[in-house]
Amino acid sequence: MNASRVRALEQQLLAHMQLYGYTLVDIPIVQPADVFLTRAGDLMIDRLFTFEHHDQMLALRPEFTAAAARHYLEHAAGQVVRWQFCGATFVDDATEDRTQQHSLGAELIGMAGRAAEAEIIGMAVEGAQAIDLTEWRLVMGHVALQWHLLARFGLDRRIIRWLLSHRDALAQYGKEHVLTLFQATFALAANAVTGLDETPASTQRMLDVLLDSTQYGTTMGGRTREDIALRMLRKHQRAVARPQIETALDFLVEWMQIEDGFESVFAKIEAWIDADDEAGRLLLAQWRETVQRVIAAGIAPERIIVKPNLARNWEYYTGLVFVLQSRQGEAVAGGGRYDELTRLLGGTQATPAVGFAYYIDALHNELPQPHDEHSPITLSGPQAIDTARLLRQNGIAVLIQDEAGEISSTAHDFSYRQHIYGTLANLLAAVKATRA
Amino acid sequence: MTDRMIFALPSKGALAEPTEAFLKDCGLKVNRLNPRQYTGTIATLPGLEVLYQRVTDIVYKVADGTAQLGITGLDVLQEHSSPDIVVIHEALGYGHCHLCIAVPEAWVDVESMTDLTEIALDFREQKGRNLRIATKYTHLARQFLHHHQIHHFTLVQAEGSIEAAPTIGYADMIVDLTQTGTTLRENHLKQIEGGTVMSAQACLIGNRYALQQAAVRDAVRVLAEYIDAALNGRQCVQITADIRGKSAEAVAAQVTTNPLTRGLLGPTVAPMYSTRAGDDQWHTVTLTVSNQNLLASVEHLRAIGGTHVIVSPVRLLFLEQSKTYTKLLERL
Repeated sequence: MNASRVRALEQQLLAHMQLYGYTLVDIPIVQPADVFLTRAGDLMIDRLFTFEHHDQMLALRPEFTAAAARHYLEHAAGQVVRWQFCGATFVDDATEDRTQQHSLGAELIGMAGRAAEAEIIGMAVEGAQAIDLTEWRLVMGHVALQWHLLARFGLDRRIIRWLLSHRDALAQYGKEHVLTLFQATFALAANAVTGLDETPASTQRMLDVLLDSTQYGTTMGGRTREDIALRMLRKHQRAVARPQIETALDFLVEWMQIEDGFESVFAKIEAWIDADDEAGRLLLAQWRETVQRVIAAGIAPERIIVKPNLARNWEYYTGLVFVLQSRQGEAVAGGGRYDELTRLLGGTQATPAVGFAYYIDALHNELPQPHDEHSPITLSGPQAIDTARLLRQNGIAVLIQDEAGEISSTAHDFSYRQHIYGTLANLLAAVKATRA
Repeated sequence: MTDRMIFALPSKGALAEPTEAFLKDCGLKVNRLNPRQYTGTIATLPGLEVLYQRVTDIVYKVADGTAQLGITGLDVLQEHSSPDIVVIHEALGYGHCHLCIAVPEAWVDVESMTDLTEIALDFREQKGRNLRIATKYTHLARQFLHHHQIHHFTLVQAEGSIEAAPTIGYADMIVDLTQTGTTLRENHLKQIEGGTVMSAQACLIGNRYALQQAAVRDAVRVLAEYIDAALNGRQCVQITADIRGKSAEAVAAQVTTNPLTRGLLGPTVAPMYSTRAGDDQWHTVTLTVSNQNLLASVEHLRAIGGTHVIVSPVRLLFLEQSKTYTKLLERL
């Protein structure tokens, strides 16, 4: 990668986001690993660059968002902040070419409503356009709506999380494979509670048995008998939840195949939401509103693709998620809403938050190489130092050599050569005029 | 070159006495003038001074080169791992134990690591605090828990009586060593499926830089020869049996029809000069067989007319070369 080009890209994008009122914030590269592990997806957990120091598990930041949320809690809780971040991020992955990557992100924390999402998405797209990314598409998904639709099958959060983390296996090996995995992970071992039906009477009986069986325990390890009995009941309910899991998997298979323009996809999703499901309708309405706002901000509707199953590597997202893709399908930027993250990191309540990051390495590879880069010209001879100084003052890069020579043959470009000669002629004229 | 070589051995704890016994079995008896002294000598290794230390300190002392060689537990070594330590022999065959997760028996809903992953989340979401885990193996415990997607926990560093931590109340569960599980049960704790962090036993270690020195390598070669010989010897027994046959060749042919009774290279067959009149053509067969094949070997010898089978333990069995030493040289 061309380091000068990367710096130039970063400067352009930082300046672009500054126009939206985003101030640059420095956050440490080394953070407590807990900050990132709180809601890292399985993929990210495996790739987190961790190490121990003074008996504490630390990590090199793999991204900015979680660290930004922590910074917000420590320095700006309760305020609306617009921050941008720039610098190295790290992944511990032998298959990656580079452990260290460049990233540039923005976080809008503390501002509720769809306007925040539209601002972040609009800024991300305009920034990419400003640095000449011409062929791109905006892909959007919605984590909250996905969770909501899966919860209709009577599944608890752990099961939904498990199902979502097995989407790749579902796509690759099919429903039966995932069902087998589910049984292996969650099915109860043969014990007292299997075989009970789910009538309230038997549930109560099971709770009584469990409460009774644990009342003589002297070592409870910070849990109450009720904690244990209720969780046992939860396990039992999972063991008998196979029909619900099967239906949920059927839904997921269909859900995962959807990828189209927003009008067509929204119509499909609407059909899945029951008439009396107000929460589901609200989520879809909010998503629609964001899309309308994004279009109003100048993004062409045909550039917008809705893929409800859009998966991100981080599990802290709680609403809309998006990715900016290049023509080759490479993600050059991505982000979304993460309202729960501040609470998970120790805050007293959830805080509305939306953010995104440009993946500078990917972006650099997708952009056309600039035409205006020129090698320095080479000068030599008795006047070289003075001439070089004058040229440099006029923005022309110069190398000085000991040997005799004229303007270097590296200046091949005709117009650039003209510019150099023109500058020299002007300088000469200026010197003559001064002397006269 | 180092003038004085130090071989650090466990001074107390579960490995102390077994280490003394093991070295004695190897023919490397440690001479210690009195049990309160922290030094000793080994007659077979005159250039070596034995220094008694705690197992953790042995790791530190070998790592910093104060001791060139040492015997400690693999669990302690992995907890305090150092790039300056080379494991010369990782399984000396004694001091077996498991480092494992143990939860209160009252947690009837917790049977596996999957359950524990969920309990850790429950603690955070329902009780607003992390799961507290008492251990002295903080490094290994942390790695293991993260590997099982358990990220929200607080390690409570403790020394001794860790099993009592959940009862006393300063931790919810523990990560500790166990041999038979009896102490865990007595403290109302249980192990869970998939909860073994590692299995360990005594191991021989050396300082990476000290091992570059010829004198240290010579000492290691002697140690490795005796240790390998003792461990080889434990795997087998020597059998002698009386078998009637026309000739030594005929007896050998019968004995070797079964692969189990072919010995290391083949049986030794010697004519016997029977004192009973007319009772000639007896031979004595001597061979080495593995412990696990002992009875099958005896039965084969009986089947071909063998009797008076005497089984003797093999104290030391030296092969062509010490595998341990050869491997060490390859790694160095």
